[in-house]
Amino acid sequence: MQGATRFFQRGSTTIEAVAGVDLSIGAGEFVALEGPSGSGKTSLLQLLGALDRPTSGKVFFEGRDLGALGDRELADLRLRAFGFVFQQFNLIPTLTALENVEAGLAPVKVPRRDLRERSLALLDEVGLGGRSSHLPAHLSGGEQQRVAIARALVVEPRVILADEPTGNLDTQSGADVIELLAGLASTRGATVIVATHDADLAGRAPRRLAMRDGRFVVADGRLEPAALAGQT
Amino acid sequence: MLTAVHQEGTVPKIVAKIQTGGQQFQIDRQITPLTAAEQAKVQACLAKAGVQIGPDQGAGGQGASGQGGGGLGGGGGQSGGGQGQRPPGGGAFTACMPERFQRLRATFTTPRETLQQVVNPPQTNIKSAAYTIAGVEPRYPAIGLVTPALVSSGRFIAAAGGHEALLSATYASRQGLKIGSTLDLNGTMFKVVGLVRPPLGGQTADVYVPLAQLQKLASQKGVVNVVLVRASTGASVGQVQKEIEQQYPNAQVASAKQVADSISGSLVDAAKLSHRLGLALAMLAAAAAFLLAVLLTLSSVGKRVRELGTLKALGWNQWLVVRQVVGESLAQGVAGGLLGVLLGIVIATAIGTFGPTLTASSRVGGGDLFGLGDVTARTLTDQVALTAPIAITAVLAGLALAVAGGLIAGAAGALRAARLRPADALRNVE
Repeated sequence: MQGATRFFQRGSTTIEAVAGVDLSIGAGEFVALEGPSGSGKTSLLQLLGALDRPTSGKVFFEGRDLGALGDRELADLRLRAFGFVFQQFNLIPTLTALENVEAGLAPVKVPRRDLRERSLALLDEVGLGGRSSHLPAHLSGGEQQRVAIARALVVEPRVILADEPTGNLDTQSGADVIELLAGLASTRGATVIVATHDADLAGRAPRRLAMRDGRFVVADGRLEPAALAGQT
Repeated sequence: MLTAVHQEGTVPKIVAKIQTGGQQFQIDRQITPLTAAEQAKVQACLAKAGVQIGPDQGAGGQGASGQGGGGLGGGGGQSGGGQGQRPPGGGAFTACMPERFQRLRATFTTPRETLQQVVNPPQTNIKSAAYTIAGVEPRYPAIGLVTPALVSSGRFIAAAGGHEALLSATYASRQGLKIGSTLDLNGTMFKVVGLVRPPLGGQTADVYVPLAQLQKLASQKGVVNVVLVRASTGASVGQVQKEIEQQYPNAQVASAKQVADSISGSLVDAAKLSHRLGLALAMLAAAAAFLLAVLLTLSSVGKRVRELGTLKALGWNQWLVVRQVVGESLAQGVAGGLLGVLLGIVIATAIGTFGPTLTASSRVGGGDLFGLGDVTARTLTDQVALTAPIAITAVLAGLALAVAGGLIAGAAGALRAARLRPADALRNVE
């Protein structure tokens, strides 16, 4: 990411959500974006995950300028390369846990049986093997989030982006989810980027970036402002 | 088809007494006086008879000779004036008079008089009622003014065509006649074998008898005044009608359609109203339904911003999301269409069962039959039960409209969904 900026217009006010950020993240890193609400961490996450385009500046992924890609290609990238976990789980309420996981791969023409097997395996992995036929309404918050993680994993993404994944969870569930996310980086070699104001969660990440008003700030001495070199 | 008059009552004797005579004639005429020659004769006669003319013979005589009449009168008077003196030789006197004094001969001409006496017609109790009577050919019952299918009770006239009659059901009930009653037509008795309900419109009559019998009764053997024509196909009716009109310019030719057009009444009014407004109202209703569907779909998409945004975040491209929304809307359209068809069938069946009625009336026989004019015209009224027939075209059209509505609403929703950005998955927190 080079000089990435993201503006939002709300009436006559211009909000600079992300102001001129330069950032590099290497493959397999576990990065935590810390900061209070309104610090721009969500917007930054969106830019990183190709959910949004910067108003100015460039975002690169695996050497490619995302700005050069059309909407369709971005969607494809999101499908195959990224996996998302949201604060409010964002499961489809009319589908069962298993179907929600399968929905992650819906656009891809995968044979039904294979898809089913893969989904079941993932649910097992997140510890929900027995609850695959439950509707989200019948699952606890923590369980729902785990289904969401399974959904994110079904496409075998290279990058997992999580926005406040423990925000709506109690401490215990939150801890479980943190464990899961932490494990992903090591077991799968995926890059995990988490935006959170949960200090515990942030503490699990080897790399923590503090944000305030759209910029990185220095805190704890471990954080570096402006351009950061990626660590493997 | 003819008009008949039925008369009932006592035949009256009309008597007029005319009195004549009893008239008196008064004649007052001057008798021509004696001429001189006659006088001489009379005197001579009298002299012969020895009759002396009264006092002052000379004078009287002279006086008498001066005036014949007066003379006689004078003579007579003098002779009479002799104070009761009897005329001498009365009989001889008379005998000497000329013939005309002896006998009165005159020709009297009675004055011409026209006897006029107004004859007051006596009161009678004759009642006259007109009715129409038509002939049917019982050997070919399939086409005629009434057919066996229209018999409401009893039976049709037998093919033998004897003295049997059919009555129109309304006429029968008006006249208090029923099956088995006998009708006296010009002295021939006919037995009522059935009651019919003639069809609305067209020529109808009160009484139907075999054609041959009617022709005999009316002394119109071999003559008809109504001909029914059945064309081989419905499409050729107009053509056939034209040809007949050309062949028989004096004939009145009416097609079934013209008859149908003459039917009026609440049925026709309702039909006209529903026809005129029907399409407009239906289109209006469909437009309103479409609008409602569009608004509801837009609202639904608005509520699912996060859900749809999530799909986009997961990698669903525009086409997939749009297809999802349209597909949902289409499915709703099909379901709605099927439900609507079902509801329509239920309601149509209910109408058929409960049969609310409308009235239809038609003026029949208003033509000029043999110069009878509008005597035969009358208005028939019939109750027609409403039916709602289920036409397959209507069902298909309804389904098509429902699907179209689903598509339109889906398109509107898809447009909105397409504008969603994946970032909306995160933004719409609440």
